[in-house]
Amino acid sequence: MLNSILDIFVRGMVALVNAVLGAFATAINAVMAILPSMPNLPSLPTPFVTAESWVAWFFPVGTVIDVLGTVLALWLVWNVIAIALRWGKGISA
Amino acid sequence: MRRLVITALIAVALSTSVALTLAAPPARAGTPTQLTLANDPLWQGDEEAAVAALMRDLGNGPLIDIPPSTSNWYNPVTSAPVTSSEVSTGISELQLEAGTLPYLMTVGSIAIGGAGAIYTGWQVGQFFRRIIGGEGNPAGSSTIYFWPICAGTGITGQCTSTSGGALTGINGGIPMIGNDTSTTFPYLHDGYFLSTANSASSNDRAWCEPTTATGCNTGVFTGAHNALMEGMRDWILSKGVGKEFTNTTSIATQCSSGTTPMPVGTCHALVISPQGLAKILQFQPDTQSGFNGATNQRSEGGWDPSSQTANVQKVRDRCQNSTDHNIQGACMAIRYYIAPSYDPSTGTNPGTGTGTGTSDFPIYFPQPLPGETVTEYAERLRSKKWLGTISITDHDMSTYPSGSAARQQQPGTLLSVSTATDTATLYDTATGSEVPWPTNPPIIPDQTTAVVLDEVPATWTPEPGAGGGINMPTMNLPDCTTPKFPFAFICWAQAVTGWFNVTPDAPDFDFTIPDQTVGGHTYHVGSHYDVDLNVMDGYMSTFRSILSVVIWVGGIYWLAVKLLGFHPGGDPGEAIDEGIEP
Repeated sequence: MLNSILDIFVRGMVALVNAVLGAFATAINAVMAILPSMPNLPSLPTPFVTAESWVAWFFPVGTVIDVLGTVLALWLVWNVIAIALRWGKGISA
Repeated sequence: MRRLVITALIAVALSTSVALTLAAPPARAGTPTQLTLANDPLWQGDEEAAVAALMRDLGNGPLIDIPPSTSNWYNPVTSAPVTSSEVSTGISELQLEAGTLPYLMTVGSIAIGGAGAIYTGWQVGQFFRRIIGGEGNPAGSSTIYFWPICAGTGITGQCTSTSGGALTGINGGIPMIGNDTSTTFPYLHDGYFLSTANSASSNDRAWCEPTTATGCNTGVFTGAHNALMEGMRDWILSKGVGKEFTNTTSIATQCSSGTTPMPVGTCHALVISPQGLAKILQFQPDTQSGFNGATNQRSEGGWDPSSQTANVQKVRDRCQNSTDHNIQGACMAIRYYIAPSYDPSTGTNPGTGTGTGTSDFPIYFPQPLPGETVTEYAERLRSKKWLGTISITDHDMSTYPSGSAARQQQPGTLLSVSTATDTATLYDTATGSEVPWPTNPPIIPDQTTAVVLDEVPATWTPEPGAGGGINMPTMNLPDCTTPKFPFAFICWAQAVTGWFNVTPDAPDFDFTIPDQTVGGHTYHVGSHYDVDLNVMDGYMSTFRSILSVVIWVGGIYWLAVKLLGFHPGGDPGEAIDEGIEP
């Protein structure tokens, strides 16, 4: 009897979780369906690509891009962490 | 305050690293430590289900055949003598089935030199030990002792008859053996177990107290013992209690007959507590001292932990020559994995080496796992060395009522297994509710018998509910293959940055200067010029690498100073302090 009750309870909880997840997925899919599409960027002209290669031969442009991307990402992460640290008085505003 | 926070973060990081390092499992030593009941990892694990499954397979198999004493041990399918490699494989498979493969040291549980000590038996012992808790030693000391059968040797109230071998009253009136003349032996769930007494010199499973018995002969208690073992097996299979089994020969008769008869009073039963039962199932030593002194399966027998090859050879020799039921049981278990298609109950005698496997060893449908797909199930069938064809059929889901558990299953989930003559369904067709797996599952009678697996169709959309557990629905999350506003801006940024990640290429200027004609005279100033800077590739590569390092250092410096607010100056330590001071 107890097992049956527990089984019903577990099944009910699983069904509830599944229903919530299903509703969440349905909402996400609905929002995504109404969002407009954006075009892809065009390809670069070949002479421009050649010029980039030449520039890159003199100077590591790709490295600069990588460093900028990393610094930007770390800066964003720090700003998120800083919110919690300020809240905890770990750092000043 | 900042200093405190930073210090705390560093402390957390360091402690986490240390914890992870300490949590890493230690490497196994080359020589395994000796297993005892206290440090046995299997005892600490959760292999009960695996062992139960193993015992179910063994117990549901055909009766153990006993080959002629002069037999060789043959692969009944190939009719060739079993090789050491096959034995090794069989042992490994058996262990794998029992779920103990990580504990390779338990290979040593196949005791050879004693008698009938087998890995399977050891597994049974572990299984028993888990179930019965290893408690209840009636004597309060040794877990194993010898009890005279109705001998009247001061064991008042515990031996009530000199003719029937009825041992009662031990430890609170729990009878061990019923009236043997009634051919019924009650097998008790909370009592103690009997192993039979026999020869002190024999390596049979039976035993006689050597100090009082003038002589024992092999086979005196064989019948009782076999009945006990079979009952024990049934008990394991059912996980039940109070199992009864029958024996057609009275203990008294057994004691007083045989090649060297002896009075009932000098015929002893080996009485063992649950610990003792676990022990006796682990090994069967040759001598009482060995029995009492043994602490684990490796301490008895001829197992050599340092030589797997030698051990395999011993197993093979033992299986070839022994007629002991216990040993043959182990051999059957091992042989099952060597030649699973052989059915010794109906096939030819493997001992003659003429077995052809015309009647194959039955393979039992394994119990499907929750939510198991037909593909996964088929793989498990193949692992049992079944070679037949599989037909996968889509089940008509409309046969299940709406809202039922069956209709909540994911596509590809197994719904039923069947052969031409037998079927086991996982869901009731009328109600759609789960059906318990049968105690005696369907049999695949032949290694090549065709099997039909019924599945949830691939086109089926599961109904919401608890069937199959938590279901993660499919969501059309944004990606760069079908860019959606505004997420595609990230894709654009990725594409733009990708434009600049190009392979460096040395500039190459290739041009032609035409001849110049002035006043009717043509001057040859040149024709074709090719200026390629690739001769500098090696130098430029080094130069770019140096630049890259400088850029990275500068980037980090910029991040620290401009974005995070660090203000260096002088001692780097002071710079950090300045940076974190408010």
